[in-house]
Amino acid sequence: MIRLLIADDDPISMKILEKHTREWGFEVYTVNDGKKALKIFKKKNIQIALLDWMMPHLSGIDLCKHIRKQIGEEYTYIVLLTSRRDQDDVIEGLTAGADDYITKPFNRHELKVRLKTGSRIINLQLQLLESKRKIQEIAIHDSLTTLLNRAEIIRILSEEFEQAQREKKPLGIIMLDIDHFKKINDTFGHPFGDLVLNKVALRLKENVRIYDKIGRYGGEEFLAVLPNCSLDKAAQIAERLRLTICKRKIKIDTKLLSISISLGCTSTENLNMNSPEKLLSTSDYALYEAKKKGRNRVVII
Amino acid sequence: MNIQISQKNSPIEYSTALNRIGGDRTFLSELLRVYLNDFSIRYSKLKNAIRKKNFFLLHKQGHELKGASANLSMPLLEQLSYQMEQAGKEKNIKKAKTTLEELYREYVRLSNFILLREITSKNCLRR
Repeated sequence: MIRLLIADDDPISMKILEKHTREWGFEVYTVNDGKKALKIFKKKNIQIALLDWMMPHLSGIDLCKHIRKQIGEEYTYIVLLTSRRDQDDVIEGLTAGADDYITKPFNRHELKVRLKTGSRIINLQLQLLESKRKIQEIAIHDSLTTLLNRAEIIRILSEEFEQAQREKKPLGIIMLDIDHFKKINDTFGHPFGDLVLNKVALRLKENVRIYDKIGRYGGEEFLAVLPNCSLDKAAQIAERLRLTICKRKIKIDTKLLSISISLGCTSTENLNMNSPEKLLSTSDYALYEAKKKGRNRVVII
Repeated sequence: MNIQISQKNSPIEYSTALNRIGGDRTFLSELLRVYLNDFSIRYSKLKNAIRKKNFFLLHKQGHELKGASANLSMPLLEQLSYQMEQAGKEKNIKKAKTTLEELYREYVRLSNFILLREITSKNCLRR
């Protein structure tokens, strides 16, 4: 339902407009002065506003200017209500930011179609915002695993690092990769390898805390960013991730595969972690050590 | 008693008003009650504004009454309200006083019209 505000201090106009607009399926809010209109506009996220020209405390024109000054994502379609003899004011109204005007006494059918036009524009804008949101989602996610992509997980690491410094709370990080992944690809083919990546990604996502972030860092490499996480806690989470992969085989089509991961883990509790880059290089080195020591293990630095 | 109400020179173009609001007679009756009540409040304000020579208030009240009258298809009341609005704009106290008297007369005519209409409707229902 589109949220519509009627601001008119004439009780007759108000009653007529309210009756019609409710009948036409709008979610209607009514006020009889400009200041109240501004409050409701902010509180209820109004999508269409029918504003009378002259009102107590704040005129329709000034209210229009106020509404246009609010820079938000969602648009408000504004229709000014003006009397027959004041059409010169229409230019002022449209300049102030109104989208349309209706002269009093209004024709019911004309009002309906003008509001339909407004609704059409609002719906178009909502579709556009939804598309923008979807594009933004695609831009930050890895299309294969649906985890955050490399750019986004690194950006989050940077952001969380600064927050951890400000709040003097520890930040944990786990770098991990799938053991012998090249062999899987060589044996079963890359499409099969993609399915393995997908299944591993899903298990990893299900086994971090709700506020932890996990992303695909490289081909078969993943990075977990753990806010407010001590080294001990990071190690526990790393071990949980390791077990969730190696304790239960992964089923793809009719094949059951034993997969393991190696993990390198560190935290800002560690001395000298004075930048996100240092965290990355340390966890990367820890991962390297895990591989060197035989894989399927967690190394903590 | 056979009362017939002529649409000619009546204070309200009843059919037009009814059509404008979608044909709901009950709603129109409600609106007319609101209008009469609103008018009496505005009348007091106008009287006070004339006494105090508050031209801004004369202009404002005239403008608002004009809108309400137009919505209910009351051509003479609309015209007189516009006259009051202009009197306020022109700071013309004499025009405002004359217009106020005319407005009151038309208001009385409207009240009588509504009352007669109600009586006629009741008579029709009884038959």
